[in-house]
Amino acid sequence: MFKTGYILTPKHDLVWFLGLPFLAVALALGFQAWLPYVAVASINLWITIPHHYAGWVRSYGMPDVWDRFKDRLIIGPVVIIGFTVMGLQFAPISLLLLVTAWDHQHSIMQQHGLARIYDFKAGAGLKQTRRYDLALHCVLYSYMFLNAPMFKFLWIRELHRMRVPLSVPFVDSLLMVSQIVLVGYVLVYLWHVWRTHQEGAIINPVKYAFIFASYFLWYFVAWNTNSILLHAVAHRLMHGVQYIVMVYSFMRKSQEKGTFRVGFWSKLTGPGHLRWFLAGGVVYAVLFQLVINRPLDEFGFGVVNFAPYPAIEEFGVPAMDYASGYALFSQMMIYAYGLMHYYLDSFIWKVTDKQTQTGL
Amino acid sequence: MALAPDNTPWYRRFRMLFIVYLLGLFFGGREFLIARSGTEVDPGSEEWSRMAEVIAELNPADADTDFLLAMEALQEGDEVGYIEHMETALGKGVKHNNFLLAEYAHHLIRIQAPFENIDVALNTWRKNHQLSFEIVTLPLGRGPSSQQDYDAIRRELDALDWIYKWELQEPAAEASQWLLLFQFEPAKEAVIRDVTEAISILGLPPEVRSRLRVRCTSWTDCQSQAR
Repeated sequence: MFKTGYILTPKHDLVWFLGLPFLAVALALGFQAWLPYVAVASINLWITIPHHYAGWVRSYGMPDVWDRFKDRLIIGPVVIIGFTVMGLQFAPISLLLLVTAWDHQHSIMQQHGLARIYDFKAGAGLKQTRRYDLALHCVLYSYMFLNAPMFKFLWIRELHRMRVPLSVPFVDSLLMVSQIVLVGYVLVYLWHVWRTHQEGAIINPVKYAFIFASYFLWYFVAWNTNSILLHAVAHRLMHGVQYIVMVYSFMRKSQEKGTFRVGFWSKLTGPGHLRWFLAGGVVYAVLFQLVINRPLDEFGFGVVNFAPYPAIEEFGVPAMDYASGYALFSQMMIYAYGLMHYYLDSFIWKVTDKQTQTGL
Repeated sequence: MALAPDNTPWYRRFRMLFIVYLLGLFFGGREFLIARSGTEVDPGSEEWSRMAEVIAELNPADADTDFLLAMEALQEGDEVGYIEHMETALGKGVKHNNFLLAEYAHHLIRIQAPFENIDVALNTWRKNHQLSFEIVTLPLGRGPSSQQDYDAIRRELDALDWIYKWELQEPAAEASQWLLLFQFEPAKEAVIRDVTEAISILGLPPEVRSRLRVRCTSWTDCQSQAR
């Protein structure tokens, strides 16, 4: 029996979960055609870093979550930072591979988690469906990772660098095994869906539309590109935007239902507060960029830059280089903020004003 | 409403970290030992060439494969093969590979290719990786022999608004020539002819450098003209 259930609403799901992957692919194709590679850094700043911020709010900004997972929220970062420092010093390639591997696992788990919400909302599936779904994600993603040209290049190169040489026949056999596993598991999964139907449980077709949309994005960009740019943009857009939408929706519903104690999170939710939640993400990205000492130009998609200040030969003023141009921008900010302060004070403190008098 | 406390046993609460740590220790330890034994698989090594062969067979259409093959060709002294593979990779619209774009631009400078070809390669690299501030190295036929010469070069190079920073490096054990090292300004188009003309100022006698400048149509055809 079929029954639809949605993460948000039919309209919002159509935009954020079912349509977004296709839009992300179209945008990424546009980026590939018209923008320089530095645009990947811009996507990182506009989407990926703010999605980390959303994760911080969701984990550290909700007092109930903090109380419940306090030891993990304290010990986890200490262990991870220590691990990263050690990795950078003694085994940088392994650290990079580990970060990459965890990123892939994290991507699979996010789509799996969202798919699980579809079943939860529709009351769909059998008890074992969770495991079948997870295995489906692992098989589909692993097949792509092993077979797609973009990833194949990476894992063959890295295994050689780790002194695990692979021959062509071995890789061919591995790819053939992956194809057999894919076909075999899809049959097993279809059998599970059939059994679900036979046992009278609900099947939510929207979940499958969501899985199809997600894998359309991943497969399309992994096979149809000579550039990591396409994958980086499309994947980050889908992953980051869906995460931000999910966090905000979760917090908004929690506030409406009163299921969590108020905290930092509740200041960012509710009517009219979405803009503050989003602005917080951008401010976080700016601060992050400043802390890691990267240029703010990376927000500009390679199109907007701190262009060098040109020479004014008539006045004997030489052209400025990048650093001097940036210093000029900083000076402009100091002046502009000063000027705004002077301007605001010119009208908000009039003692003759009745409104001012009430506060005195 | 308070949530139920997290009563899962500690080893389950931290299992993700354990798995990551174990994987990190295994692969990291292996990498550390390989690095200490000095047997890393790096470009130029035999194992790297074997890897390039495997990838070329399995992933022939990929731009990064063309780059690998180009570097292998260069290693074997096959200049034509190098250029062919590089141009095939660039023809596929590759943007992500900073090393490829930088290497090709440098190679064209090394072989003193026509200015226009170098400009295309330099600007493709600069445009896509405009905030990497990587250094371009230009070997010089002749370096400054006096402070006056150095000042002349400084005046000319400082006038080029697309150069962010520059530095002259004296001949040393690893490079027998003078080298000009420079970085791009992010938002300006690079024109290699400008640099050639700037450093060719040394070809003019010191007393005429304020009146004359150098104009080049190629690496070897430079003439003086009034400023």
